Amino acid sequence: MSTMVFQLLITGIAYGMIYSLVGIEYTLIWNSSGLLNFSHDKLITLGAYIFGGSMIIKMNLDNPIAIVLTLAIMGVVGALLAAGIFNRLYSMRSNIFAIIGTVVLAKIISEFIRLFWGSGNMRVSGWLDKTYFIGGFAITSANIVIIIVAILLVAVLEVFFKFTKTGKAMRCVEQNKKAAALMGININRSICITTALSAMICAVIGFLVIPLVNISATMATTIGLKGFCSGVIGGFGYIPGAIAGGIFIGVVENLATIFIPAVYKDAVSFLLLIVFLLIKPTGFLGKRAQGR
Amino acid sequence: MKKLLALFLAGAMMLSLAACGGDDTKETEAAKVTAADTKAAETKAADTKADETKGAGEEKPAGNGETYKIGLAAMLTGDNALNGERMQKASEMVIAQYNEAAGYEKFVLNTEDDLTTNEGALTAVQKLISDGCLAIIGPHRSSAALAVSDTVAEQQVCVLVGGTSVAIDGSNNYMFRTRASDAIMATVAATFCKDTLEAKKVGILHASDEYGQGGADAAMAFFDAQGIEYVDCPHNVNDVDFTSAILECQSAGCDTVFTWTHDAETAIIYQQLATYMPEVNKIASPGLTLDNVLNLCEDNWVDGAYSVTDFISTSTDTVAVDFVKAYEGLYGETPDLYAAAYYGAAVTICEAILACEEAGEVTPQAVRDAIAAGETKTLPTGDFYNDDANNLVHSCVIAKLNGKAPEFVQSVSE
Repeated sequence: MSTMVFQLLITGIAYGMIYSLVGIEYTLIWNSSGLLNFSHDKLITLGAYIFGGSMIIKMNLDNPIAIVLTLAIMGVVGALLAAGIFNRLYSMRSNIFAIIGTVVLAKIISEFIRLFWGSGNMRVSGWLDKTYFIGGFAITSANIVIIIVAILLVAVLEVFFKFTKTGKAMRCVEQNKKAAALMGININRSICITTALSAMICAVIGFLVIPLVNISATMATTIGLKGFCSGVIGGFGYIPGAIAGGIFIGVVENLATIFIPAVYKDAVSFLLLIVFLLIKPTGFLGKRAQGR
Repeated sequence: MKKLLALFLAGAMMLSLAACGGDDTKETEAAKVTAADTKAAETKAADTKADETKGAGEEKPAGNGETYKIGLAAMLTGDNALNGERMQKASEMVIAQYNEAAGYEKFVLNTEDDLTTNEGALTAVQKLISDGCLAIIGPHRSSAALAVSDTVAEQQVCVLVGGTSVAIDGSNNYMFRTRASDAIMATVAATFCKDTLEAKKVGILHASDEYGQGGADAAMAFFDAQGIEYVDCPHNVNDVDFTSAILECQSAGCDTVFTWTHDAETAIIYQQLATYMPEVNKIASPGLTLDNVLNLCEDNWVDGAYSVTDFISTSTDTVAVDFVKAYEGLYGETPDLYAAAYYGAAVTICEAILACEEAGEVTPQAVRDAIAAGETKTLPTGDFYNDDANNLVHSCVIAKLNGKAPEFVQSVSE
């Protein structure tokens, strides 16, 4: 039983880190533009297709070059989306327009993927697919890399927001757009940078989940939903909250399968979402988020 | 900036429209089918009596020069688009063969995208019926077939569906099944577990939807009857992490794992089985023999695993060999079970229409009756004939994976 618990714990933490990254990505867009981006799971998918489908499988590039190129392309895609769509949506009278806009954007990205890469699923052979056996436990290289990269990414984001001029400007926009504009910060430019950053995080999530779920049009659907749950459970709009919420969901849903059938694993996450919305809508770290 | 946004959105809309459009070149390619492939159809077409029949829903004489519409509701977009593409290719191949045999465009294939959704399937079927199709190939999935069941019964236009669920029970006279049912295939797989793999305890990993549950129920009924222990591990469609279910099978001491689920999930389950239970005996639903699953797997994940399926391209059966050759010649790719199953469906409809033409009445009802009463035809997926439950196919194949190559083990008939 202890082997099973430990094994589930490792898987739970790895998936939790993925949910955290998705939650962070939601949070960045929300804080910068006040938009709930429902197209982000398709951006994760797009990142995976560019990296795996084009850079590795078609162009046969080395992994580091493929990663850098994909990040660059996704950064440009993010900036274009912000300039062409998000900057206009966030200033509309009703949030409904913005939400519908991002839902339609998801559909457009999805169809673009189908037309460009075809409808078949893909796998990147040799990409994070090793398994290490330590004692009685199996640990995949994907799980190890996910945990390390997620921690590094969070640390880099923290440094970026606290110690760089651009990061500080983005935090100002997040806190009060009107005041930031009066202080000479270009709001639209700030949203462009945030969205570019967010799209690059989507690409990173795409790289990391390829060995777990393969590349397919629906590869990030569940992950996207759980990332949203992690944001709500941790405290929406607060990056440490998204991290805590993601790890919490990942671990709880996996350990829950010891007591309930695995088919209800997803239900556990969504049940937690409803419970938090009813009992503590501000999430785990809601007070801190509100106090900022 | 407004202009840029407008241009971007217009471009996206054009791409979407292009996706919905047909590909005219396919029909041209399909017309290149060899004369040998069309011999059977030619004989039928030559016997056709002129001016004796009536078109679908129209009181006009048929015969030489008459054109008949056949519908295709295929999954051209959505989760199963690749399989829908195979449905379309196989159907177009058959239509081209029969048109070449007739010497003119006798059959027209009206294709509608069912979006791989139940609502999409219903819309597609309604559109095809309103277009005057005599019979419809598809929809493929069981849940989509059930969604269109009432409509086709009311409109009295038959559909030849690929859904293998036991819920498609033959109670609808206008719905025929063109693949062996889950009850047959899963029972064959369970029997193989007992007789060949000598299973003592079986872990059953299956999707919790109509398809997965139907297969698992048939297997569990067999194991219950045989006194073989099993662990039931359902999962949701589109799940990506099966660690919990596999660890449950491992801790329960299962010596065999029986998987009955969809293509994407099958690949991930086999990856995770290779990590946590590499030595366990494995048998899977038909998806494991498909290229779109095997391309997602490493050799060692699937090597030695078995699969129960409708068709494998390495079959030594003459009809199957000829079909594979013709399909590869036309499209430059190896056909899979989707291509084989819907090739059979399209041939069945064309033959039924020709029979109606001979009899002097070509209406949707007459075509339905001709399919129900049709003679046995040997097609790539086996002998096609109708039974009391409107099943047209009654056999399946057991394949063993040698590396990633499916090899024929045995054919099992009902």
